[in-house]
Amino acid sequence: MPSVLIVDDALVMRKIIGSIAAEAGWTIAAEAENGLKGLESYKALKPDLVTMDLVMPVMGGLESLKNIREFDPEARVVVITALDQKKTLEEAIEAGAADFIVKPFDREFVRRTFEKLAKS
Amino acid sequence: MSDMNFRHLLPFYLDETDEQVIALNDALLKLEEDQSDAPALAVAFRIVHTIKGSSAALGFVQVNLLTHHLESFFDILRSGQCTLDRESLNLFFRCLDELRSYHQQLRETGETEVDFGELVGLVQKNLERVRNGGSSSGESGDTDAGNDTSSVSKSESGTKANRAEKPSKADESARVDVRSISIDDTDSAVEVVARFEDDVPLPDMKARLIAKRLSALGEILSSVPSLEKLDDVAELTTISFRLATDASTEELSKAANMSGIASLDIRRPKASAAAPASSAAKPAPAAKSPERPKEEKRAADRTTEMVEAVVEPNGIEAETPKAGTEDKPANVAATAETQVSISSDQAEKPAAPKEKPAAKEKPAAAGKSVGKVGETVRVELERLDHLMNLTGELVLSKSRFVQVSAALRENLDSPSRRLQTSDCLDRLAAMRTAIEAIAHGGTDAEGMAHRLLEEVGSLSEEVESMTRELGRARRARASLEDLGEAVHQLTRVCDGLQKGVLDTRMIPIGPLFERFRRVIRDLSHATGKEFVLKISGESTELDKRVVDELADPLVHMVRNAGDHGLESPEERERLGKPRAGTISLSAAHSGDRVTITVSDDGRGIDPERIRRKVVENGLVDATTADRLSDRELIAYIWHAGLSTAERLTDISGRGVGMDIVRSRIESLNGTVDIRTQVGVGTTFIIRLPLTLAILPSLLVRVHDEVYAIAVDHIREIVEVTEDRVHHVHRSRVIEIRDRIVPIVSLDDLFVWGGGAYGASGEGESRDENGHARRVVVLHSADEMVGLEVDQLMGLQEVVLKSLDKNLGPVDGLSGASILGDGRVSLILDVDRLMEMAADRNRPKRAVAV
Repeated sequence: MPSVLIVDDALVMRKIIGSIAAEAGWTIAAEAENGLKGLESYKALKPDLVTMDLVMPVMGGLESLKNIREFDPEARVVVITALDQKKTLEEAIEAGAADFIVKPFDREFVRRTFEKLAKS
Repeated sequence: MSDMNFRHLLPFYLDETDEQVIALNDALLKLEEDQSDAPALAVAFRIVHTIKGSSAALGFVQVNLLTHHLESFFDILRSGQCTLDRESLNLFFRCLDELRSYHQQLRETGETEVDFGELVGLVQKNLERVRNGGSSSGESGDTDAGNDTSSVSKSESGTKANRAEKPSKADESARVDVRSISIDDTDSAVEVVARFEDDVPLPDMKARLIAKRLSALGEILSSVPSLEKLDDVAELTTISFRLATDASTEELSKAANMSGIASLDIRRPKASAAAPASSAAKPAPAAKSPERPKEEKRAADRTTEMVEAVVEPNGIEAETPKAGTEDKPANVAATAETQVSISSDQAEKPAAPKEKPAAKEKPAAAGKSVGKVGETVRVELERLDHLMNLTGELVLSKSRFVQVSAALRENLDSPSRRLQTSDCLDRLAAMRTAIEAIAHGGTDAEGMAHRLLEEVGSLSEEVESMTRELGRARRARASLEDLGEAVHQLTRVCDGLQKGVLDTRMIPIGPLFERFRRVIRDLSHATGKEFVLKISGESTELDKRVVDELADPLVHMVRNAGDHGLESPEERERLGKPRAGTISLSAAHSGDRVTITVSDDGRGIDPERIRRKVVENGLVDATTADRLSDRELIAYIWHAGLSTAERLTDISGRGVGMDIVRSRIESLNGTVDIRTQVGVGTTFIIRLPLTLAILPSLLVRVHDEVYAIAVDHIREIVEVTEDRVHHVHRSRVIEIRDRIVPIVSLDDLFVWGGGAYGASGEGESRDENGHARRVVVLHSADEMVGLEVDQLMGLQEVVLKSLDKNLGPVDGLSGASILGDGRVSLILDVDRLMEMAADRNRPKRAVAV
C-alpha cells in the first residue's frame, strides 16, 4: 500500500484526511503538526505522498514543501489550502506541489483524489 | 460543510480549540503590549485560520463564520494595510471569550445554539472602520471583505492588490510563460486539454498547477484562456495548452491529471512523427551534466534550447540519461500516435516500467515504523482514570504478596537453626554405645537394653526422615528466597507502573498561570488599578484534574487580591509603594505535595475590620468578637457570608467566594492557609497532593475498624493523660503549646449502626487506670481538633476508592481503601469531621457503618 505523510497543525484535519486516505487504500506513514516535523518525518520515512497544510506554526507549509522537494526532487506533495491562501498556493505550485485540495473540502472529492494519486 | 461523519472527533476538536483559544489569548495580550508585534499577529492569524478549518470540517458554521472574519481582519492587519487599535483589540478579546464559552457549552451539553451573527457584524463594521480611518490608501471598493458570500472574489482582489505592491516569484515565472507563448510553433505542438469538474474550487489555480507541471516536460507555447488572463475568466471550465515537448503521452497525462480534472485530452500533431529523423545528426547538447538535474533546471535549459527541443525530442532525452532507457522506444511509439484521449479515471496506460531515481534511496519497505518522529497520543482522562484504578488494584495485590511472603518467611525461617538434627543423631549414637556397654555388663538388664536398642533404632530412623523433611524445607526456603526476589521485582515494577501512570496525567501548571495575564488585564480595566503579574515555577507538574479544578479558586483569589487586596495607584504612591501592585503566582514541589501561592503586596487583611464585620453580619456577638485573636478573626474570611469589602463590586466581594475557594481546594485533598500583614500584603498558601488517586495516610484503629486519615491533615500526634483533659461546657479540650484544642472521639461524631460502640462509650485504650490517650491532632485551615484513637497502625499510601457507587455519599467519610491484608479501611473526611465536631451541640448524624 502506498504511504502518506499528513502535515497539518489541526489534529481534527489530520484525522479527517487520514481517515479518507485510509479509505482510499493508503497507509498513514505519520502525522506531523508543523512543517518542520513534516520535513523531519519525510526524511525519516520517505512516504509516497505528503499532504501539506499551508498555514502552520514553526514552519509553514510552503517552506516545508520547498525543503522536502530540495531533499527529494521526486517528492509528491499535495497542498491542502484555504480559498484565500491563493498567493501562497501560487508559490507552492511554483515550488513543485503535485496537486492541491481546497478547504473546506468535500469528502468524496478528497477520496477520489487519493484514489487517483494511489494509481499514479 | 457539516459532516456528521466526523462527530466522533469532537473531543479532539474541543481539546485542541481550547488550546488554540488560550494561545490566541496570549497572542492578543502580546499585541496589546505592542500593537506592531508581527510574530504575535502571525500567530493570531494562524490560530483563527486553524480553528476556521477545523470548525468547518465538523460543521460548526457559527465558529467558522466568526473565525473567517477574524482571519480576514488579521490578514489585513498583517499586510500592514492598517494598524490595530484598542477598539479592535477589545473586540478581539470579546470574540475570544465568545468562542471560549461556545466551546465550553459544546463540551458540557454536546450542542449549542449560539449565534455569532451580531459579533460577526461588529467585526465587519470594525474592519471597515479601521480600513477607512487607518489606511491612507483607503480602497473604498474593497469594503465587502467581510461578506461571506464574496470571499472568493475578495481574496482574488486581495491577491491582485498584493501583486501590485511587490511582484512575487510566481509572477515572474508567469511572465516567462507569457514570453514563451509568443513563440509559436504550430506544426509540432502537442495539445493538452483539461476539463475541470463542476464546482471545483480555484480552477484557475488548477490551471496554473497544470501549466507548471507541463512546463517541466516541455515548453508551453500558448494556452486558452491565456494564463495571465485567468483571473478575468468568470467560469473556468476547460483549459487547453499547446506545448512543444518530447514527453510521452503517459508523462503528459500523469503531469496534467490531478484532482478536480474531469477529463484530459492529449492530441498529437501528425507532423511530429517525422521529427526524430533529423535528430540523429546532432550530438546530445547537454551531455555535460551526467547527474540528473533538478526539474527546474531542466525546464530552464529547455527554454533556451527550445527550438532544438521541438525538432529533436530524442536529443533532449539523451540530455538526461536515465536508468530505464527502455522507455525511449515507447516514447517514439507514442509520438506516432495522432490523438490519445484519456478520461480522468483511467489515466494509466501500460507504460514501460520507469523507476524514480529517488526510489533507490528508499528502504525497500518505505515503512511506517522507520524512525518515527516524536509523536503524541491524546487519551481521554477517563481511560487514564481506569488505568489508574487498575494500577491501584495491582498495587494492593502486590502488598498482599509482600505480606504473604513475609509471613511465609517468618514461619519457615524459625526452625532452621533450632532443629540441629545431625547433632541429635550424634547424641543418639552416643546413647546407643552407652546402652550397649550396659547390655554387655549387666545380666537381668539385658532384655531391657535390647528393647532400648530397638527403640533407639526406630528413633534414629525417625530422625533420619526428619532430616530428609528438613532438607525439603531447606529447598523450600531457597524457593522462598526466589519468591522474595520476585516480590521485590514485582514491587519495583508496580511502583514504576504506578509512577508511570501518574506521570501520564501530569501537566505543567504554566498554561494555567498564563491565563492570569488575561485575568489581570481585565481586572486592570475594570478597577483602573495598575498591576504587575509575577509568575514562577510554571514548569511544576501536577495531575491534570487538579490543575483543572484549581482554575476557578485561583481566579477568585487573584481577583480578590486585585480588587480588595491592592490599593489604588494614588494610595500606593502616598504609602511610598510602587504605583503598580504586584500579584505573584508561584508553584513548587515539596515532597509529594505541590505548594501554590497567591500573594499580593497590598494592604493586607485588617483583623479589626473583620471584627467589625463579624459583629455586623451577626456571626458573633460583640463580646465574643472582642475576645477573638487576630488569627481567629482572619480565619473568618473563609466563612460564608463575610465580605470585608467596603463596597461591593462586580469583580468580587459578593460575599460568596472564599468559603467556596476553600471547599474546592479541600475537595482536592488540599489545604489552604493565609499569611497576612497589614500594610504589607497577603499570601495564600495552597498545598495540594500531586495526584488525587493516591493518598498518603495514617492508619488508626478505633474499636475494631481501621480508618485512614490523610497525612496532610495531621498536625501532630500526642499522648495525653486524663489530668491534662479539661472540660469546658460540654466539650473536652487539651492544651497543646498554648493552644486550646478540643478533642473528640468518633463515638461523638458517628452513630454506629446497631449502636454497639456508642452504647459501650469509652474504648479500651481510653484512659483506663490513667493510661495515656492517643490523640491525633487534625488541622484544616487554621482550626485544630484532636481525634482520640485506640491504636496507631502506621503510615501507608492508600488508593482512594469512592463509596458513592455502592453506598452513596457518607457524611464524614471521603472514601474507602483496601489494605494489604485485604481488609477495608474507611477514609475519614477530615474537613467534614471538623465541621461535625464544631456543631456537636446539634443532634447526631446518622451514619451507615
